[in-house]
Amino acid sequence: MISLYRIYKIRPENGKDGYEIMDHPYADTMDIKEKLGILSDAAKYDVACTSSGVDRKGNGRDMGNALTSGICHSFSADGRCISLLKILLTNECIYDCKYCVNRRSNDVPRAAFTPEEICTLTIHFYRRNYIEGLFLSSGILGSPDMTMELLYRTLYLLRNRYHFRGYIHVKAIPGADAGLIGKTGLLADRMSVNLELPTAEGLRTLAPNKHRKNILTPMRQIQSGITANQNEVALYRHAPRFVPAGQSTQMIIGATPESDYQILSVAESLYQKFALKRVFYSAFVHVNADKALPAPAGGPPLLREHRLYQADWLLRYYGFSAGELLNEKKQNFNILLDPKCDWALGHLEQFPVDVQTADYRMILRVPGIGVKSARKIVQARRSARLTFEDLKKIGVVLKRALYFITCGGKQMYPVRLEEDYITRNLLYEKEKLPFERCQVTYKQLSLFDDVRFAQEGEERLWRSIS
Amino acid sequence: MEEHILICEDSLEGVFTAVYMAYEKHYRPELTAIQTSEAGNLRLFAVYETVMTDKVKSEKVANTLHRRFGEEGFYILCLALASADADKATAVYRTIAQGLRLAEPFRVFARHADPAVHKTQKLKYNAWHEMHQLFGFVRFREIRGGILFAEIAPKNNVISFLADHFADRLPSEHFLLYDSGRALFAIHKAGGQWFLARDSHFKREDVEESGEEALYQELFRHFCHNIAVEARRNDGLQKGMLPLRFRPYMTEFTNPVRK
Repeated sequence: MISLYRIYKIRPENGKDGYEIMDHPYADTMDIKEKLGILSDAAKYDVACTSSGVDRKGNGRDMGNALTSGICHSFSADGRCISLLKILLTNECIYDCKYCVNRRSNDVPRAAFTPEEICTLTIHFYRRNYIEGLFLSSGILGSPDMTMELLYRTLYLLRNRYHFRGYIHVKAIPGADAGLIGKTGLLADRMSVNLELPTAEGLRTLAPNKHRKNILTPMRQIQSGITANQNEVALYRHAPRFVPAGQSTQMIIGATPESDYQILSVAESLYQKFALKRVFYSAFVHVNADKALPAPAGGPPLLREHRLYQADWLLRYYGFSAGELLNEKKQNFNILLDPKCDWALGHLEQFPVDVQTADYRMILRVPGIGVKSARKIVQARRSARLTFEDLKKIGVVLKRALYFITCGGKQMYPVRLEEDYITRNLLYEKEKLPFERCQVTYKQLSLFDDVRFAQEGEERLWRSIS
Repeated sequence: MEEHILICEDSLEGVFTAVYMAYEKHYRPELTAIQTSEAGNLRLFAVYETVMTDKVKSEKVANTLHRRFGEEGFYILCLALASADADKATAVYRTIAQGLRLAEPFRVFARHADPAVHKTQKLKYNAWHEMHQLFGFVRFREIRGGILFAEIAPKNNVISFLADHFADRLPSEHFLLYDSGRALFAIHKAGGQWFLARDSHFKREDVEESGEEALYQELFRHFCHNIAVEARRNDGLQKGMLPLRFRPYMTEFTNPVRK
């Protein structure tokens, strides 16, 4: 490690805020394609690949702009969006996290990009419209400070020498100097610190070198940086922006025995206490053989991940709280019904709601009505009496919503407001899952996805079938 | 009352001129249709009129719409008119007529229960969606002289929206966007404005790639292949998100041409 340190020695350039790397261990021996192969392969388990959250017009001279919605440039064979050039600076790592493919004890080919190489790749990919920007993460090389320094230097070059105005997402390295993280934040659009595992307990067993406190410190720093910057920008319009697209994090799902309730509560407090833009959930992919890790026979727990994302949306856009969807007694999501239907079935006393008169927040809670259609309903009912035909046009999924709504006091057709009856009908209308079309059947998935097979879900199912 | 059917050129100017005509002659919107192509099935008891595109009249309409509907409202109308639907002009015209009767015309877009407004919104969403997909799916190749060249074949006529986007993004690049279905080019000169041109004699074989091009194509293919997590492989989802019709023009789904 000491030799690497020496090779990576960084020196200031004429006392200015620029840096030069003296030698590079891989520069001569490995061509760029080989490096890109190793370092994109090593980065692919990071799920966050959005380019959203910031609107930046072009300046008429330099390359790049950014759109609030973000842009997907391609989709890989796993169906996930390719928006950013997602790479590691290096897959060298001094840590030995059990779940990670880049852990110290793994015998995998190692490589490192020079900051210049990353800039060239980004610029050439960007001008061909292959990517929306750069997603830069890294293994820990030498020390957290040194790694962060290299990340900073890369971003500095990209923004100041290459004048790149596209999107940049960069990792804040836990344990790195606060000054460095602060400087990097002024160059990036989004920063993220991975929580890795939902609880401190899980972190202790699987990532012995990482500590919960070390992870939360930079997260808090970025949060207060963003708040302070917003005040600054309000005062001085041209003040440099600090992490304008907000920060995100990710958790690995299914490597440790936390329940959905625990995970969702953690996510909720991250949104509330750390003002995160997004929390990503990453179904555990078994890459390392280790006795501390589970080996799920059905592959990564995709259904569980999907349910968590559904619930995450309910938290962020639908005004639900974690305690409403799950609780101490009911720790896991129903595998057969999405969280919103599940909630509605447990709260039938609040239904049916009349679309003509109910308030927006209640309309949002109806299964089959999303944010867009709820907004359209509220707009349209000002100028017209809505019919079920209109609702269909607006985009309401009537096959789910019809049990829970009335139009002008009338149901679409007479239905009983009974839990068993509605459950049976909802289950009959198969839920569209993003991975249904794979070879894996629904049944296989559900069995492996939740070994505990949420008791009440099972009971409800049996009651409805018998 | 008799029905009027105005036939105009399939362009923003053409439709706006027809809207001008309809207003000038005090036609009733609910009995008036605007077609952007020759009618296949002629209707009985309807008067057909052909509208010659008029720059001045269309400009007047565009200005009025821009002023009354606002930036965003005007954008919605333009996007809806970029759609490939045969009845788009009628839907947009009736939306305009309804909107202009309101104190705040933009509010017409909240009338989701109205058939014309609903149709306009649907067309707009459709065109917007394809435009947004192409923001990402357009693939430039560097050809001789460092010019960027991309070929597209969109269903909706979105090339001018794309050109706006890329002119903002790549102001210091020369680029060519080529809509092969419509034989339309958007040509952008570094540091300047872009403009549209029509050329039906263009042969894509004439395009010669620059020396560096093959390397970056190869690198990107390599990257796209590598970034997929094999344990999560899901071709159905990929196909849903990135329909096959876009793929012939995308670097990562085509093989390098050996010369």
